[in-house]
Amino acid sequence: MRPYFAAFLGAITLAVSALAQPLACPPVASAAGRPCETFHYHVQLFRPDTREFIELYGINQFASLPACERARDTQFKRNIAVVEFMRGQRRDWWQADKFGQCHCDMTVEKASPNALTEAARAQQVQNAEEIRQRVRERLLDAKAPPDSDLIRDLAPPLSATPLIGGPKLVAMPAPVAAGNVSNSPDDLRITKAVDTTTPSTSSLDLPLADIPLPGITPPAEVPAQVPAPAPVSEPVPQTAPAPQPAPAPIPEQVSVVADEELPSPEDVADAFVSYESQRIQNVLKVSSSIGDESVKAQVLDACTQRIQLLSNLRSIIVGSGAKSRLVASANVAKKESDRLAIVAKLFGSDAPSHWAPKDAADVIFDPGVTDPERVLRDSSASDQQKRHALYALLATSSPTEQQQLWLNSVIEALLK
Amino acid sequence: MPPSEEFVKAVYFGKKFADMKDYANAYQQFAKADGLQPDVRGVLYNMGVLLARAGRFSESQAKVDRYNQLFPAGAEKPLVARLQLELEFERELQKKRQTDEEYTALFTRGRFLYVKGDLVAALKLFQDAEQQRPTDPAAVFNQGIVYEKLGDLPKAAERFHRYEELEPDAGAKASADQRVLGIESEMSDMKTKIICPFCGWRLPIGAMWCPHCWHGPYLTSPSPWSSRPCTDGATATRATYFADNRFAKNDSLPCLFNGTMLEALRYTPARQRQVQDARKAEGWTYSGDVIQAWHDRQGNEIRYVQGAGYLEKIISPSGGELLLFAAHRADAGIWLLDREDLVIDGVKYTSHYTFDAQNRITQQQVVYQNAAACNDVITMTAIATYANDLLAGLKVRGGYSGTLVQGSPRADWEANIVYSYDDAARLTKEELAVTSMTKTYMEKPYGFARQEVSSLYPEMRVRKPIERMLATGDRCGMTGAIVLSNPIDLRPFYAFSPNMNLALPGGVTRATVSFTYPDSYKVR
Repeated sequence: MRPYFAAFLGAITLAVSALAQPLACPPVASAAGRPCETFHYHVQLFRPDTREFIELYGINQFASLPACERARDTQFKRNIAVVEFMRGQRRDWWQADKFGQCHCDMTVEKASPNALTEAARAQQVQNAEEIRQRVRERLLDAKAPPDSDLIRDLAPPLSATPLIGGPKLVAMPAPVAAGNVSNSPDDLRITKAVDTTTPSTSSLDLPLADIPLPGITPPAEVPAQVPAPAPVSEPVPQTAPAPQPAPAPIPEQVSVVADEELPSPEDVADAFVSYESQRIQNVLKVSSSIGDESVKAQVLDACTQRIQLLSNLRSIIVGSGAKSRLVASANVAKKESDRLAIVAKLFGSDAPSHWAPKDAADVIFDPGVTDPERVLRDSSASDQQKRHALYALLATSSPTEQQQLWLNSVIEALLK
Repeated sequence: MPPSEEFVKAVYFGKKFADMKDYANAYQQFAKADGLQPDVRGVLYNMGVLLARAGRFSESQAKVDRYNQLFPAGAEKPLVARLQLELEFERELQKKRQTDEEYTALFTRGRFLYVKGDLVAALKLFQDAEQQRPTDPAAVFNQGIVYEKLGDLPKAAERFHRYEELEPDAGAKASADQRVLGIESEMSDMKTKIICPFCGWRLPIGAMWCPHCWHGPYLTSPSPWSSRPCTDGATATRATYFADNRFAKNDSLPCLFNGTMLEALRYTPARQRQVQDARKAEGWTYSGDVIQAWHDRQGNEIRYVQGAGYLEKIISPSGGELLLFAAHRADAGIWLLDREDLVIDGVKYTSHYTFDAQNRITQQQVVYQNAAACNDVITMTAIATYANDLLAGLKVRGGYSGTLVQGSPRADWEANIVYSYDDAARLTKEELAVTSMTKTYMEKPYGFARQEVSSLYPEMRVRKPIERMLATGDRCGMTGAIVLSNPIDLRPFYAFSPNMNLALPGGVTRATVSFTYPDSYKVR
């Protein structure tokens, strides 16, 4: 055991000195400043037949310094094992191989004195193999088992990275499972066909009804100045009395809470229609004195139509909204001329004389329209025709709520 | 009966709250008033209005109905009529909103399915969307995107053209135009390119190797590479024989491609993505379409060092291996290897290729150290001959000089491979014959090697060729009781044929590969 240990120590000493040998490629100017891509180490192999060292530097190449150093360390340990074995077999003359440091491989640099052609490199491999065979032969001669690690480890290592040696022709890979596929949502467009600006609910501008509360809600005010309807200028024949100004109409139970800045359509409707209702009441009163029953009947008929018209007009004013032209016009129509101007705009330039008759019989007004709705919807009809049609429609029918909405727009157009 | 004080207060408060636009509390007060004195006209109406303002339209409608029932000619009638219209309008609005929401939901669901990768289902939803609103460009655009992902480029192009008709925005139109141009270029590539099934790179039809991973060969024209299609009725059987004509064994060679190689590798964007996705799943990374590196969680790494036109090195920083490549450009997109390192079963083979004017390999020289046996440095050369554009034969020579210790053996062998085709240019037979194998020991082996050699070749005499080498194969050494040999290794000559991709076991000197094809199989 003792001689073996001594031999081992000797081998270690030799090996350490061997590691310190400056076995390196001389620097090459053309490679200076470039990152090193290939590393190697030089080795002086001990040739047992001549007991000389042969330096080889074309038998290893590595892609990284750590890989080079790992391989060098492995090779070093294997060589130490050989030295240890041989010295243990009383071959004290056996020398350890000398390993240089791992460094940038200049054998690939054409300008380097160490540059190697492929043939020269193959020759170095051949030389290494020659020495390896001699070492093997001596090991076997020294009774090293032929299938021992000592003998096997003499051989150059095989590539250990499986992917490096994959097949050159591969099959088409199977599709990756759908779960692993992800497409970016940004690839797609978002629809603009949906109108996102439409509010989720319509704006509801309906006012609340004012509920009369005893002792709290003041009685609805009478219009400060209700202008007297223009008297019928001349009584109808046969002592038809002229219409008298009407007393202020008593407000309905319900008045409307008006917007502070805009007129309340209800108030405007009340004021306008009440005044006009009184006007027609006056005509009716006067009409009782008409002697000609035929004329009287026509006057009554015309007044009935007017009452129907005013009722409809009230609904339309209320429904037209505080900002409508109709409400605005009716609201400012305090003077008789203003009222008649509205009437002319609504029902035609020939309507005012019938609207505010000087004679009760003048209230008779035949707009000459048999199908007023058709005329109103007819884009080719003149404004005058439409105005007559509006009179006829309002005087002779009770428009539905939908018709009232439509009439609102018709009237807005006529008031432009 | 005069209203109660509580009623008066509730109505008053209700109005005050309404004035403050606090409609919820206003409603509560009117509801309270209604509870104290039911069915007061104004209260009913006000409740209807406040409920409508709160978006409680069905409750508002109930109040309107109640009002109309009790007060058909009530003073609030015009207002109630308008409220009724408002409620109907709200219903109309709700209906429109629901339709819009349903339409938008098609896009949301389609988007979700698209992101998830369920392209067919996503496409169906965008088609439904187009049916509902045929002029919505987004539905058409998204169909185009999905068709593109599905690889149906003609349909994608048609969809994007339609999109351009519908889209009013000039910028969006221009971007779609660029996309159409890209698709048309892709469609052109589908006619003229194949993909490398390893890295997914697009190659011109006719390229032998992929220049970014050096996988291949991709010989899509009639060649031995089209001899093993994956179709019914196609078979490839390799029989090997010993030197004395004894049968060694039969190998049924697996098929290589569905249909011809050209059909299997023809470029489509989907196929390219399929390859890239598969590699990425394995740990490979890309820069654009160029493969770059692989690594695993254990720290193993492989880097592909891409030069200006082709892959110059494969390095393994962890394992230290280094494979070098040199190539020249032969045609647009076609690179031919001049030098290649190849690792098979851990042994590195270095090949040098020579090509003719038609970019066909005329010669390949291989050098390797057979670390799997006796570490001899072996050189092999293959010379190809062609007849009528078809590979007709391959003459392969190999040999090495052993070490002095081994007795300086000189080994040489020669083999011929002959290729036969039918009238349709389909390979029918590939026959290998080792025509010679010689080994001569120039010196007496040393020491233990002498014993080894005499046990390997008992009749060995220095400078006299070993007899019956063909029958024994090239035995070079022993490890323990195991005999090591240098087989005739044809694997580095992979570029000529996939069918003789073998190292001949000792004593095997003949191999025949026979092929059958269905009548319908065409290689041209």
